[in-house]
Amino acid sequence: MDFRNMFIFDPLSKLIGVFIVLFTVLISIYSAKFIKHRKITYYIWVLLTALASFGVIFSDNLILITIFWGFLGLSLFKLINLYDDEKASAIAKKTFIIIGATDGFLLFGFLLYHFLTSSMSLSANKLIINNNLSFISFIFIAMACFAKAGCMPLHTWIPETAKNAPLPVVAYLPASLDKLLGIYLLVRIVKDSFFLDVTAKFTLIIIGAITVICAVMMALIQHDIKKLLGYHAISQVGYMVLGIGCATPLGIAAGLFHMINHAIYKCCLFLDAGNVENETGTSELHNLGGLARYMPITFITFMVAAFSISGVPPFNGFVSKWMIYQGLSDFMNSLSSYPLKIIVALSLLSALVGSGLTLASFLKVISSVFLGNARKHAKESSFALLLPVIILALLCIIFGVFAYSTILKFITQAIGSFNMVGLWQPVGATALIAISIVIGLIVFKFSSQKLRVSDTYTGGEELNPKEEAKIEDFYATISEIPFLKKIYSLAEAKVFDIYEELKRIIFVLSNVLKRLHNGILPTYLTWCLIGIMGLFFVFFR
Amino acid sequence: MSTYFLCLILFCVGLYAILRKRNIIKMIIGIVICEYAINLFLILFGYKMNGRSPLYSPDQQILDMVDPLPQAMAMTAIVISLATTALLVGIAIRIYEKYGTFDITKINKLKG
Repeated sequence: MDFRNMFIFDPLSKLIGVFIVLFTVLISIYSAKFIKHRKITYYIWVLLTALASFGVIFSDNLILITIFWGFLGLSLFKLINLYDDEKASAIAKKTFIIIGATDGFLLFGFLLYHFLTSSMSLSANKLIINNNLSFISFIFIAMACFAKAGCMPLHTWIPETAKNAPLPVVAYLPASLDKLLGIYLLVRIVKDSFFLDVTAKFTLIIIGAITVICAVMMALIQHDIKKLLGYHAISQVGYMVLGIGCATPLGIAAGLFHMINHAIYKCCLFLDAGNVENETGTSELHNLGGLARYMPITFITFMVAAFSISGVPPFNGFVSKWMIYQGLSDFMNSLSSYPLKIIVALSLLSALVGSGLTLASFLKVISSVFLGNARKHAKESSFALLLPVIILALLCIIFGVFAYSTILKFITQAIGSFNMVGLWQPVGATALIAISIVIGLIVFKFSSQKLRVSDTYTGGEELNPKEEAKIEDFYATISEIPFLKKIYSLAEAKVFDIYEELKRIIFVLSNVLKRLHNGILPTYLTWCLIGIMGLFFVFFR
Repeated sequence: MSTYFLCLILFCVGLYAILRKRNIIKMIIGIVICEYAINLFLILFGYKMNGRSPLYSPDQQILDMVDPLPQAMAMTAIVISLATTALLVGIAIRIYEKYGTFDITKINKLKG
């Protein structure tokens, strides 16, 4: 056996590896203060997770990837279930079942891949998707990526994990590391293992578009900051899948760049939410308010990350979303038939609308947590809790303003060269934004009218004059619209949750089977006899 | 051929008693019926129409003898089945002393 062929050290793996190290270090610093009990268990599992992640990204052998991938599911289970409380262990079980089931799909996909290419290497030769078997192989491997990254319809473990698991775990695994790994494998198979045909491309694009729009609609009506961030973590995966679904170098690079950006700002957002929860003891928007004057650094870093995730220039989220839009429009121009063009155009539209809705939802979070009247008194967190978020917020700015000279060089090495379709000069644009802000400040300084009185901003809601404007109920009217109301109530009843649906089916089946298990020996003897008779019938006919 | 089928039917009657009856005594009777069916089958297997008894003497041909082997086996099986039946009945009596019933659905504290 030749061990040199089992591992791969190309620029793509190295790029992801750097970020795995970055997040492991930052989360370790953060957890030193945040995790108070079971520290040793926690750190052991964090380090094992990092090791297994290196195993996934640096191995090229199908079996090795499966083994490390499976181990990551176990470590995710152990980390979510760190404190063994009731809610966390229930959601850890759900996560483990979803991830474990898709591990099975991954194994089956790899099996088909091996059967079709007769090689154990993932990147040795590209498989052309031209029949059902190769398509099934691609979709099964992609399903494992979707479950890991949290793309619909296998997303349901993320919001509940975000709400119930220990916060550094959420920031480490679902928000950053699982995204890195899931999208890494998707990029790897799209880049090195398969030539995508039109069906596969459009499967990815449609899944991405649906994920973007549905998850952001769910995020709009959430009241818990951690659950809201969890839904945004799902919605952003849609953008990456949209980019990768184009299967052009520009699209793949855009998806990869957006994934790295997402890991940075979502980790920052979760850690900030952790700071807020650590100081005030609650994560409900109803109980928070006016924290900006007590926690200025948390406020500024949260705002930078929120602007990044909403795609406000000049932060990094804008650059990668801009690249995804370019990739989609480029892909649309390369198509010939009109129905396909319309599908891509609708996906592009949903990506744009999703970005706007993300901004709207973060407007609600920022103004209800950090602005308005203070409902709780708090003090700024300690340095160990602030250092990771400061570093991550700085990375958000650097990757936004100096995108071309820093991160995009490495991505070009990893993916191959690509041409931008649109025009965006981050440095120049940032300079223009800064100049306009400075001019605005000067005008404000020297103008006679200092203040402008306007009505309270209510996010489009009708203001009850007797009451204080409730920021956390922004966009609650959306769930009153007749058609959407039905969908939201169905979503609350977990009808769209694939895990809950399967659970219901399995309970119905197991009730039938339970009736057969009556605990009386002759009944089992009867079944044994029937089985033996069946076997005799088959083999000695 | 029809005799073999009759043996099978007898065996199935015993099997039905073992599998579907709740009373231990009836199950034991089912086991005994099964044994009888098997013994009958063995004897019938070795039977030869118009044959003579398998006694050897120098002046007679071996050709028209009944096969003695199944008969010997059936004799052994009957003795063994007597012993097993005695054991089963003994256990059934012990169970009745302990639980006060022969119904197997009510005998559910066998652990420990």
